Amino acid sequence: MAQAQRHIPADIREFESAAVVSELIQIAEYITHMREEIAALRANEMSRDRIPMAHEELGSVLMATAGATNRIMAAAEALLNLPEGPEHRPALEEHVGTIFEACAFQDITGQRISKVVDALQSFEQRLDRFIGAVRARDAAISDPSERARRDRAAELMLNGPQAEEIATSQDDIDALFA
Amino acid sequence: MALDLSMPILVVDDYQTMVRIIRNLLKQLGFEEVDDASDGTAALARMKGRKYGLVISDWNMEPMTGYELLRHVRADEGLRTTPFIMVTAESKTENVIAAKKAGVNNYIVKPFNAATLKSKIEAVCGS
Repeated sequence: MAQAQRHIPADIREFESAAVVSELIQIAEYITHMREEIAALRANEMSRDRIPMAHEELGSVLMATAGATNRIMAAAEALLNLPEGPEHRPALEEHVGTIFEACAFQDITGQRISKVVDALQSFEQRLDRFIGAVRARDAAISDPSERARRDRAAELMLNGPQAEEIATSQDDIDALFA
Repeated sequence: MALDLSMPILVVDDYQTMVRIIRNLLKQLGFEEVDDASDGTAALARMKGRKYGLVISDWNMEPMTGYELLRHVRADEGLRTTPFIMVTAESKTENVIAAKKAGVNNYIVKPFNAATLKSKIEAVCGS
């Protein structure tokens, strides 16, 4: 190797060394840039604070909507079974009052959902910036449980509720059964 | 249209609130014999033990979906004639077509109202 290099003219060796140095500088700059972009993701903050917060808020929303639904349904069932008589009106007012109170969940859950939406928008902005910076491409799904979940959903057509504008209407469905 | 209000009905849904809603609607229509199951596997077990006049099932449940339940029911010699209505949030046309091919008698998209449920039950079970 050393013998082979001795046969390369000095000006070419200098040129090659300069090119290698230039490339190393570019790589170092790229690594510095990547470190800045990774830091800008604030991944620790996401996993430590904001994702658990989103989980907690959505869990609370679930509990609040379930609780309110149960209170409303219990009141409605009680209304259906109210006996006629002098106690009818006060009992009716009490159950209707319960329904009004239970509907207050919407205000609180709306605020909780807004916090989650804010967090998701923040994640989206950070990820968009990162994807642009590293020109990321998606690899195939490597997590077996995620692949199994997707395969099951596809096989059993678990599409979930559709956006209102693209969902098949009950009238269109009825036409298929006519 | 005359309905046999004494026929037992099986409601299959993993969401207890929806079971309660359908139970109440059925009660308002005059049906008193209503059982429930939380997924297709539990529903099949119930159907082996009692003859139901109608099954009202959700689609998306674990471990056995309503679509799988429908296929099991239609493949079972003793159960295949049981009327079956799908009540689901799965509102893609491909779902409706698949369910129809599998032998569903009617299909209701959530959210629905009492009038829709009543008209579908009448269409499927009315004599």
